[in-house]
Amino acid sequence: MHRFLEAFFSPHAFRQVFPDVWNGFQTNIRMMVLAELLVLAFALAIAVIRGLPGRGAWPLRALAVVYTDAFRGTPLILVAYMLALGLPGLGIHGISNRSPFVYGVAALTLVYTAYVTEVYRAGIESVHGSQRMAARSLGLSYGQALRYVVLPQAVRRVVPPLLNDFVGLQKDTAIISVAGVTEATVQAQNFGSSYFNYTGYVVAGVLFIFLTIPLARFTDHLVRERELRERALAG
Amino acid sequence: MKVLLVAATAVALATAAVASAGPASTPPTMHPGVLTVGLDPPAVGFQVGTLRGQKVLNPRGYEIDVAKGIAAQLKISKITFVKVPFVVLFRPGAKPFDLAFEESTITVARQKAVSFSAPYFAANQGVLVSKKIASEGKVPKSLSDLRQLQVCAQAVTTGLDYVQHRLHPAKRPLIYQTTAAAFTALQNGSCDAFVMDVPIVASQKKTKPSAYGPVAGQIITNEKYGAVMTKGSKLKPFVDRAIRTLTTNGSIAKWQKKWFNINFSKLHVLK
Repeated sequence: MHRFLEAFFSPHAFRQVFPDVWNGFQTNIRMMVLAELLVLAFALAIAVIRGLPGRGAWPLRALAVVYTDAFRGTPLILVAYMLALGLPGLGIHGISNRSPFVYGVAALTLVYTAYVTEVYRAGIESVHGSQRMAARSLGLSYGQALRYVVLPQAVRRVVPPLLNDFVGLQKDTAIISVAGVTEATVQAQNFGSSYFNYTGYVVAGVLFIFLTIPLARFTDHLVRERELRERALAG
Repeated sequence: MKVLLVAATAVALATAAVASAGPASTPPTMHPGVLTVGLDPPAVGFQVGTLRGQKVLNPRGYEIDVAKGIAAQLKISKITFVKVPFVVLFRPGAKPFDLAFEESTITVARQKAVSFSAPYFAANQGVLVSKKIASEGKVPKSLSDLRQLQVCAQAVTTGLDYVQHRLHPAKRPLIYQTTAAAFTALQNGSCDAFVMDVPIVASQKKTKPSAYGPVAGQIITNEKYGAVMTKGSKLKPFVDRAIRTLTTNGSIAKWQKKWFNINFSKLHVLK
């Protein structure tokens, strides 16, 4: 028991390792915030593209389907390797001389946009078709009906699953360590490998948990609020 | 109870007798008659081979010659080579191999978790720079030059330890999980200067001269490589004796010349 506590919960090791892990964790937070903002925007755009009506939009819809299928099915670690180790060698101006941080955010965005696109799409499809028809019959264009009638309801409905995906994204920032980004888990690994003490991993784990708990409570709050509102409407 | 105790003592004595008889006759390997050797290729010069799952096929290099030499000294005819990632090599606990050759520097901290054989190679840290840095004329001539570059290192190496605790570069170092990933980063310009054992970077440069800039020099760290074994391994005295024999009979020197043939003492020293 003593050895277990010493290996994972040593106060002495905590003091030594905390500044490094905290320093690395700020990189995780930066990656996460950037990626989440990009994901929100791109995923909405792709979900809308997937729902475009008419024959003329077929190539766009097909592209959107191919993209979501490809990146939802590819492990993040592979995408991170491909971008961070593959792209710089191509010598493409503006793409090949980015930092591992940028490639990391790009990998997270590519993979999570594919997930979140599906979440948005489920939301859009959950809005009954009669609403859209009603909006069109009032003289709203396709775009206006989408903007003012469908999306507000759709987005509100998908907030809980969306935040759930973001919890996943936050944790997956640790995977970006393979691209060479010095984040919290790498710092913990460095310490662990030099001193054979794993307190650093516990510190990193606790930091990740602290980051996700507020998000989880916020999701609960949103769900409860919506329930109350809908009950009020029904009553 | 007494009978039981006597029986237990007898068993203990018998085991002790077998154990003490052991060293004289057969070396205590994991599987009798087979030497299981851990590797993590590629490290040009030291070990290259084809990876098939956990097995390493047709390994070649200095460390392979040393491993075979040790097996011959121990009169073991069969060697199995298995891949053991370097990042988990120094994890405490029982190892899935008898001994591992992975250019591992003997350090006091690591000795708390594993046992090392007698040294079979001496090395310093080396600095290999990217082509970009070379073309910009920024090849470091001193440690303070090096501090200004984007330095990279491999996780869990003495090179990384040096970078983080001695060099303190201006930009945060990039850390890669494998040597191959770090060399790729250097080749594609993500990393300016890779700090790694000088024989490894020098051999890599020799194999792919056009992929990198020059070896800027070496940093004197006086490191000694030892084969890694489970802490307290009973095989250690056998391996140490074999390495001493291979050193005194000139085999070690012969193999070093065969695989490296680089005069490291002529390399510029970064101070």
